[in-house]
Amino acid sequence: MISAASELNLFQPLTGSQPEFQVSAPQGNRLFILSSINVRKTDSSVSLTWTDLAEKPETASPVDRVLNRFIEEAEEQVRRYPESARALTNLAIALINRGSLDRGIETVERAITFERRNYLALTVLAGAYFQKGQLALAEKLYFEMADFWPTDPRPLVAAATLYLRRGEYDRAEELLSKAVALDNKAAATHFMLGVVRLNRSCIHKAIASLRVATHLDVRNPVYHHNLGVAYAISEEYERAEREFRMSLALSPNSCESIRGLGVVLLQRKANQQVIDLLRPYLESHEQDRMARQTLARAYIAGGRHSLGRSSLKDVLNHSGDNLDLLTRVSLINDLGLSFMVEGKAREAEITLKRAIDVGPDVSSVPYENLARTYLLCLDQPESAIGVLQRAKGLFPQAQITRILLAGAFTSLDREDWGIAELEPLWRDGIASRQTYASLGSLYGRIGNLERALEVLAEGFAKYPKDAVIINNLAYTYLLCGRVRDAKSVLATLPKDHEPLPYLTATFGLLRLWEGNEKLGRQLYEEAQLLASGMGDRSLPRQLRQKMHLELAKFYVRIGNRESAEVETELGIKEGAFPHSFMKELLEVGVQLRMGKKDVLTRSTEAVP
Amino acid sequence: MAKPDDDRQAKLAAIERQTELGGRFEQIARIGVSGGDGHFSILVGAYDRFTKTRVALKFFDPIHRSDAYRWECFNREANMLEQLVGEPDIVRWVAPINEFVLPFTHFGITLNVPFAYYALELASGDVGAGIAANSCDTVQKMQQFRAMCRSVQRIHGRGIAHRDLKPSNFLTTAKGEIRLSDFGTAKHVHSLADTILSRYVSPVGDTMYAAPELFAALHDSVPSISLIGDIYALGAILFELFSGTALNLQIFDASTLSSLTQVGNALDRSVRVRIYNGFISKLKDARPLPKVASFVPDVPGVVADHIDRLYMSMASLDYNSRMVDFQRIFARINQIELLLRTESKYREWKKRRDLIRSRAAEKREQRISILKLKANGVQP
Repeated sequence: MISAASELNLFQPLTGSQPEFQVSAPQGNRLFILSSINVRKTDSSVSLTWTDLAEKPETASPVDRVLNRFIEEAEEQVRRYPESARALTNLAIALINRGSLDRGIETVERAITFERRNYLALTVLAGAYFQKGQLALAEKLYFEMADFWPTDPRPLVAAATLYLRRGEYDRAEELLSKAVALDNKAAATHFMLGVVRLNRSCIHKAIASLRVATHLDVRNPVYHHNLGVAYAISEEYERAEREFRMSLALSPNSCESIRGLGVVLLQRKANQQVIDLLRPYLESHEQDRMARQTLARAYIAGGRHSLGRSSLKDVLNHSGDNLDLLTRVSLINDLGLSFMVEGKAREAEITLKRAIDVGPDVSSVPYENLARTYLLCLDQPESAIGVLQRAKGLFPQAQITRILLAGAFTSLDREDWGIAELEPLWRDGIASRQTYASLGSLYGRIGNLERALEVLAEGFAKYPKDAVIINNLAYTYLLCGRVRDAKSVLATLPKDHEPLPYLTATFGLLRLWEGNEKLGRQLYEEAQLLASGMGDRSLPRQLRQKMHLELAKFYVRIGNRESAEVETELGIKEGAFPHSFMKELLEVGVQLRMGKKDVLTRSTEAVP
Repeated sequence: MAKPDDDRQAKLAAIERQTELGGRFEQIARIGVSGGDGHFSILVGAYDRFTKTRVALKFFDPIHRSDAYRWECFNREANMLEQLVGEPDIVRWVAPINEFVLPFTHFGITLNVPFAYYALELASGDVGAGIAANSCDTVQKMQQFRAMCRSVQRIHGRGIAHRDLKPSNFLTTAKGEIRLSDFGTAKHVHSLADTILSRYVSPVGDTMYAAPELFAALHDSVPSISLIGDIYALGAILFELFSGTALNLQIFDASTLSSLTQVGNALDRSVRVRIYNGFISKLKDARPLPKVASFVPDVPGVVADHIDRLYMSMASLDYNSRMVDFQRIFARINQIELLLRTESKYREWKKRRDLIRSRAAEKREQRISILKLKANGVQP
């Protein structure tokens, strides 16, 4: 029993580096995050990296002249009122704005010696400690503030920010819950709660909190931007796009939102829109690495590979040593991916190996793409297994690696090994949606439809909008002959779901089971057309063979033996290849000759 | 850095040695330790035999006499104050510019140094000192702010933009009244003759209170824009009165300033306003002004939102949407003052109302329980 649906998540070719977003702090409140955060989604979690404010060298630009004038005027006030905590705090703020963090700290410490309970001075000092990474000192000050002003939720929120940075998410969430209890109308508190939940990978709860923040403060672009990031991470790209656009309507020059929108449009395959958005933007923001990388990916996704690659090379060459290792690896990986999609398997192999050499323990993605190259382009499942085993050792949490490994085993007809790879994830309750879909599909392949239904039904309950799980579950129901169940599962597909070849094929199969041969055939042909645009050259052939197999079974069911034989012949003519249906077609051929209709329609028996 | 102080000390001592000035001023003594905080002026107190009161004498620091712009500012201030005589809320002009000459010997060379001065009303402090010491309550702050607005309304009524409004330029008298001072950079916005500089590339006054359009040098193209800039400064002062920190420090970061100064420096005067207008409305949306309560936890809740609304409408980043009508500004101030006056009464009323409501609820509960008992055939 083979499920064509399983291939969808095993060999989806366009898997670049993980999308990256920037989360910034709301303006005008010194108590909240004081530096921006890079948010990167991995297949199992969300990772946050903090961007610190560095001490800035003195320059003579017009902006620095103004910032220096602020300092001079604040110094004048300090000369007039040398013991005023307010004057000293203003000077400290001016110094910190100019990038002189140490002088700022020194000044505001002096302010506090004159007025211990100066809210702004304590806030500024704690914030400066926070920026300098002196988190223990900042923490002490925040709790001191919470003691001084017990009904004020903001010190708690600020302390939660600090715990967020330390990775102590439980404590952060606990403090934020207390802050919400003190004042549930403060948008910034809900915003922070959203950020903490985002980092805990509680995406839906994060979205809920961020939505509250956007409702409480509708005109704050930062909240819309962050809600967009959360939606993007939860792969609700349409909503993410809406939020990024809202943020840009409120703040048209927000680089973060432009980049975020670019990433989301890319995920929605609106490649031309990405190009239209980012090309003019990059004319005035030449140094924006993330935007340039997104533009390159849009070129690659749109088939303009050489343009995309030259953009990526530009970033690599011009950034010099400024790039962090993960970014460097991600850029080289994208280069390799471009070669792979273009069908230049050897170049892809060399480039992806280079990505691995540059940062062997940075990301599992280059390993996965190298394995895909071996599986899809070079037909070397053994090499793929070698690469993936190494990746598995380095990144035991990476579920995509294990799914690919299971796929590689399957192409060697070792579905049992594949199941052994994925089943522990399911048993431990940590299976991702791709793992559910793949494991269910593998059980289907070995004929264990009962277990396949168990896994997929659980996955469907957890991820009711996931098109792949819906497809695989419906397909398995059809294998069991449960046409009505399959139909009701397919009816839950989101209206705006992407047209996927496997899904179209499953609809074709449903029509065949309903007795509509013409529509069934038409849908299978449509699926082949869709597949031919995906870059995997064996997929259309595989779908064509599957169509002949299912049509043969259909004719057998209606007693048209002649047509069944013709379809079987046509299917066999497609030949044997990895993941082909040759075995099933031969089985049908043999049964037809022996005249055993019951064997051919075995799958119509319902699974208890 | 010690030398200028020595210089200032020498100049102060020379002025103080004068027993009489202009035939009317005597008992001359410096104001504060260093004769005021002005970079270009020296302030001393003196007894005026004509008015029989103590007044302030503002001297132009002779070391800057060769700086034509500063000297012109000094003259203009004296003339402007003379024109404003009789206007309440403005520091009172007492006597016109006069001058005496003193010989100073430096490195063996003796020079005759001119000391120019004029006389004005003597103040006892300024609003800036009150902010620095956080010495006023909410009611006093609103009273001060009302007086500040009134003084600016008066000069705007005469077509004068102050262009350097800041807390330290609002003097306080011994009676606690507020007086607007320091007209050195003030300008008749409808008069071309009043222009000292041929081109402006930055704000004229203190940057800490300068409106965003002044960073983009829009006053260079449209002088009357300085009037709206004054309103921004008032809004920024209101923010500082309550928060204790300067608004511009909170909202102008490097990226915002970069955009603003680019507009001011790079563009032709004729297109500058158009480009700026396109840019600023977006900036305004992107940079919501902070709430006062974000900086101090003890703003009375009953007026916190009203203060925010007032300062935000006066200090709106987009000058096109700034509230410039003083009648509306005073109406808002009245509203805040009314709320403050009636706050205690309101609290008492609320307490009584809650008490009455809880008693009514208790009675209702009692009636319901009696009815229930009756329905069950039990005699209560």
